[in-house]
Amino acid sequence: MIRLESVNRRFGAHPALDDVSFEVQTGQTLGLVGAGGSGKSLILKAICGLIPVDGGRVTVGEHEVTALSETALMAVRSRIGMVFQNYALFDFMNVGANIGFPLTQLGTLSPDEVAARVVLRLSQVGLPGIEDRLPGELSGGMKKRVCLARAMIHDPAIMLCDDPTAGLDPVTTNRIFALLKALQTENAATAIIVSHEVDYLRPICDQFVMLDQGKVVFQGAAALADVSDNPIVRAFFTGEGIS
Amino acid sequence: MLRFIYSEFRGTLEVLRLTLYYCVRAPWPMREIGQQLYEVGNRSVFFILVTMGFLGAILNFQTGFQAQRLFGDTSLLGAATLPILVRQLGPTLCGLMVAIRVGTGIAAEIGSMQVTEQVDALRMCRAQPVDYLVKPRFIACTLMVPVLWVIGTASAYVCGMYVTYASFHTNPNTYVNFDMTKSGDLIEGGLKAVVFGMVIPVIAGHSGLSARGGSEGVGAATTQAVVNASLAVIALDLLIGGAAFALKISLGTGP
Repeated sequence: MIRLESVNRRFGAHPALDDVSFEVQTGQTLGLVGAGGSGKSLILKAICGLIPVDGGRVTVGEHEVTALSETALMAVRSRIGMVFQNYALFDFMNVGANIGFPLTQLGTLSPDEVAARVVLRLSQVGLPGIEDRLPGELSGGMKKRVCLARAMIHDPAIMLCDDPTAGLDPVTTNRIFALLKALQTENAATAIIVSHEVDYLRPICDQFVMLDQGKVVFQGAAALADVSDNPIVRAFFTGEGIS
Repeated sequence: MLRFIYSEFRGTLEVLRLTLYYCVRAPWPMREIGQQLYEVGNRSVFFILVTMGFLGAILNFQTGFQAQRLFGDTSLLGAATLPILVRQLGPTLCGLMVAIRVGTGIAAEIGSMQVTEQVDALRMCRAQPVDYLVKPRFIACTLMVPVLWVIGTASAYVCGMYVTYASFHTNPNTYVNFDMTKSGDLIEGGLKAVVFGMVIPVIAGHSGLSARGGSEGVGAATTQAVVNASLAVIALDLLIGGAAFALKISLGTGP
């Protein structure tokens, strides 16, 4: 389970996250939506302890992330797989080393076992045989899928995906959401997916949280968002104009 | 402004603390360290040889010109400039050159990784950025700056010898004179080179890890790295030089 309680984060005078509270039950998939700059990526980073918060509590399972040291956070992060908005593939490593890196760092498998797992994940994301290529030689869609393979290589209990289909064509977008769902189901993982693609998220998300200027303006099922009293929420989910 | 300086200083000290902590802990990525030794050492040799050569030539020309005017004699030029090169100009100028060539590279590389979320990805994979990115560069610089100091000082001395011969007709056999260079000069110069080698990657690493935004942030981090590293080299030069001077006086070995 992931729980955020009254989380605040400011950049100077600007409140990036303002009293954000919600929770995701184990095994559920949450769609985190909102306009650009509303604080969605910050929430994912706060859950992993990658950024400190100014107030409030973030709890992942039995761990209160906001109270842990960097060393203690490692144990929490080893249960999380994160897909970054900008791929975040290591330029100096080939694809195989990139994908195998989380397992290499965990040190629980032999190099041969890691290599076998890399081959399996690459074939699952539809990119077999590209282990030796460098990230710079891949297209945007391929980088996203490699990033997804790296995030899922260690069968994480929690999946955090930051705009996994940004800038991709509809065919690749469909493919990536199908992959996400398959991997989430395979591991019975708890997932939070940040995206603007509400229509793609509807079939795979159990509930949605919508942010507007750092505040939670909606929490619940997509069907409720469609008939929300808040015109911003309704407009975002149904695509209708705001009068 | 004072708050900014304080936060920069505190941040750099934290990176230094973590770097020293990880340096005494395995694993030591030998391949990465070897690659950094090549980057810091081999790739800087030509730059150091040329700049130090020019500086040695200028130093001897200007000093020789004054000596000729005041005493009409340049026979002790080589003996007098060598200790200055060994304990002062050699390590300081090599430190500044490494800060410019290597420090900027470290800040730009780590800064780019920071703004493209690669540093966050490292942390998500249980890798500490200081351990993974700063430690190999720290070890390489600590080992290689003293080597560059020796090469740079030799280059400056040899080029100075040629200029002294060409300008003042001082015989090279007369110029090469180690009588005024003491072991204390070597220790002071070597200590400075090691300290500069430790400080430059830490400051550059901290600047890179503090980069924010996009390419503009990487540019700002790179500028900040070279400014801070250069200031640190000059300030530490004064501190170590002052401490060495006070030690020599207290031991009665003279300046």
